[in-house]
Amino acid sequence: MEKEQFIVHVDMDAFFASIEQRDHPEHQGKPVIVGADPQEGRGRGVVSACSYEARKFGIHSALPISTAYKLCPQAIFLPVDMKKYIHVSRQVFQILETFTPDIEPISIDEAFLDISHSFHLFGTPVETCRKIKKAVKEGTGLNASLGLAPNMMTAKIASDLEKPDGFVVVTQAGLQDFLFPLPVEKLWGIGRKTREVLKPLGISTVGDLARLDASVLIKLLGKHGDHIRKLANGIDPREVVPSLETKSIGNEHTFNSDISDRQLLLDTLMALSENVSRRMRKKGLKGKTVTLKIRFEDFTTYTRSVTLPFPTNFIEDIYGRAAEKCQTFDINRSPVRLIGVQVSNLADSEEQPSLFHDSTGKNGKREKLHEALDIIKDKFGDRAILHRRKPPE
Amino acid sequence: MRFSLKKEDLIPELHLFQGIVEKRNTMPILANILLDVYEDRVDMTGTDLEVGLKTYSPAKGEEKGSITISGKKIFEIVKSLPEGKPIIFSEENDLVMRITSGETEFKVLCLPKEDYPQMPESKFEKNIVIPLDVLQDMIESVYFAITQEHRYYLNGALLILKDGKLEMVSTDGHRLAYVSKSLENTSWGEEIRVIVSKKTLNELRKFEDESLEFDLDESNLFFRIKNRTMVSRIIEGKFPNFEAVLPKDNPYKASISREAITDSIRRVSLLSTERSRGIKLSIEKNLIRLFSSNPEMGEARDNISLDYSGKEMEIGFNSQYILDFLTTVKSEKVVFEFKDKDSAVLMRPESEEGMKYNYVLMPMKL
Repeated sequence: MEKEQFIVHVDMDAFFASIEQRDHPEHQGKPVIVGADPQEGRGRGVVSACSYEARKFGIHSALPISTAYKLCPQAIFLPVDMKKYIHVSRQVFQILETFTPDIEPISIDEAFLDISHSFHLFGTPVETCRKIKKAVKEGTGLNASLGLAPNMMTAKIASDLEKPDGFVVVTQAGLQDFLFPLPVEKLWGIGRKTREVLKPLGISTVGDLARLDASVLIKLLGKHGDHIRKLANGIDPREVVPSLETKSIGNEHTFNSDISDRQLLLDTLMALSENVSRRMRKKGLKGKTVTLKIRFEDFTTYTRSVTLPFPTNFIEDIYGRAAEKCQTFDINRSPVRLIGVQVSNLADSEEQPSLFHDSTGKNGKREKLHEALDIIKDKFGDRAILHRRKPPE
Repeated sequence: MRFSLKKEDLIPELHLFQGIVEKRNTMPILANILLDVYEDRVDMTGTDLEVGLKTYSPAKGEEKGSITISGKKIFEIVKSLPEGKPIIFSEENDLVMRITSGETEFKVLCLPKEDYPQMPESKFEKNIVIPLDVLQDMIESVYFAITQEHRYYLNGALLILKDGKLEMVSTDGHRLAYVSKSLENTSWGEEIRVIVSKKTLNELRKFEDESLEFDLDESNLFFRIKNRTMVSRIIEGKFPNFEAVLPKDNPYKASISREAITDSIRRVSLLSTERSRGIKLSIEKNLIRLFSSNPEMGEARDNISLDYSGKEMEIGFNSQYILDFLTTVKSEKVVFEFKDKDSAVLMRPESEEGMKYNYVLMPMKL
């Protein structure tokens, strides 16, 4: 039998708003809305985040700021101070890293931790989670909600259950008791369409789905049917994939619907590589390791890396290596949900000049070409000049 | 096939194969060595198709034959057996080798000799003989600057044989090590320039004798030392034009105690950034100030005195690159020859002792 997994989902409570409340004690206990300027109800932006006090008025993120103003004009409206939030986020991740290296960041305020291999250093898995909560609170003054479970999906559901400042534990033995009563849409990958298919079958809870005959589901939903039935039974094939290095530059894209069009996949990869390449040049960085990340419809995720002999930030190197790795996957067999590219193993570009004058050096032709391209794009916009992918040979 | 021999005759030969036979499982037979049994000896051949070795041990051959057996397992087995007792190898039935010594018995699955790749051979008709200690000193001087990367022509050192002179060069693009030695009474005919792979050089370090014989054909190099012949595929490709980057007239020379600068760089580099390992050298009249800083850690300083009256300058280096040189060279004092903060620096031992050794290093921009 496989060893039991202990996966933790850490989700910061109302992250942006909590930071503002921490830094402005006078805002504590009051509805705080971080986002666009409401301009007394005429503002056009949206709510980025809001405190729990504001949520009582029906305010949530992505709500038009004008609506938020109508619902709660007395709220404290604050602009987004992204620099500050990123700084705090780094602090949070630094704390999490003291508990395990197996961390997959999901966003600025959310991460999965696999503590299966490290919890014994801190006691039991449950004690480890309590220590994580305490360390985050002491280190940043902020509350995190945690879910501890044998797999990622359940951990995420669990962390959400007792928010704010929540901690929910689901054991392997209690997995079915926990999942079965939940409404079926709590499962990953059950959206509106799947629900419409399931509804006529009288399926409303996870338990209903788990008990359904596998062949019926596969007939109705194909492979996806098999996947969601496994999820309903508490079998989640995903693993915590540590973000390769904190010192890396990457970009990824989740497709609106899963794709098996190689052309589209490579075009997307090109656009992502372009973004990474420009950000690296802006920061004066080069990197030696290019990593492709690919996630299939069943959420299985792969990363493939290649290390170059010299650091680069050229799009042709980044895209070229990532595309090579991409070709090793058979996307006809399983459609792709997400694709990403990352450059790590970073060095400052100016550091060590070459003895032999080649085109990759500071004054090389390629360097100058890319500088020129950047200037054109800065001046006339990103689409002013575009790369053309080499047609397949 | 059947033969017997002594442990102490076989172990040194089997040991040499451990660096040569293939460890990855790409072609299983390349993990094996080929045994050819004759009346008075057993020949052994191992190769990974890049580097090959053929050698023999004295043996009592009772029944001739050939077979291939795992190079790693036969070494481990023979090593485990007691000294003094004869070890008997016999082919049991098809492709099973029985190895016995006293009460101990092993039966090892083998692969047929027909599948084993043919090793190129040489008759060593060019009569090129190189003193082994000279060659090994030269390898030692350039080995650390060889890289392993996709510019395959840098995955080895350039070996040049001219009349009366042997030269060797290695580079990873940022630094370059050059060594040359005059050899009297040699006439090798036409100049030879070949890139010798890092693996071959590493194997050559392990041999012991006074001299080795050298030969080459279009695609292979041959080295013979007593009963052992090594074959190495020549690395194809153009080695960078090293003559062009050897600084000819760097005007400012600093003579420094090797021990003092080595220790000082080790100390100061403790707080250099891990990425670049960069340190700064400020050279003034009779003084070098060393400095490193790391925004996440702090900074370190040290001073050492020396004889210097040239131009004052500040120049950055990857500390590891300098240490690689300082820990390889043996002289008491080293000389750094500068031009300016952007130009390659030449480093060399102050006393040359018959061997010219130049290390060229590009400064960093700190």
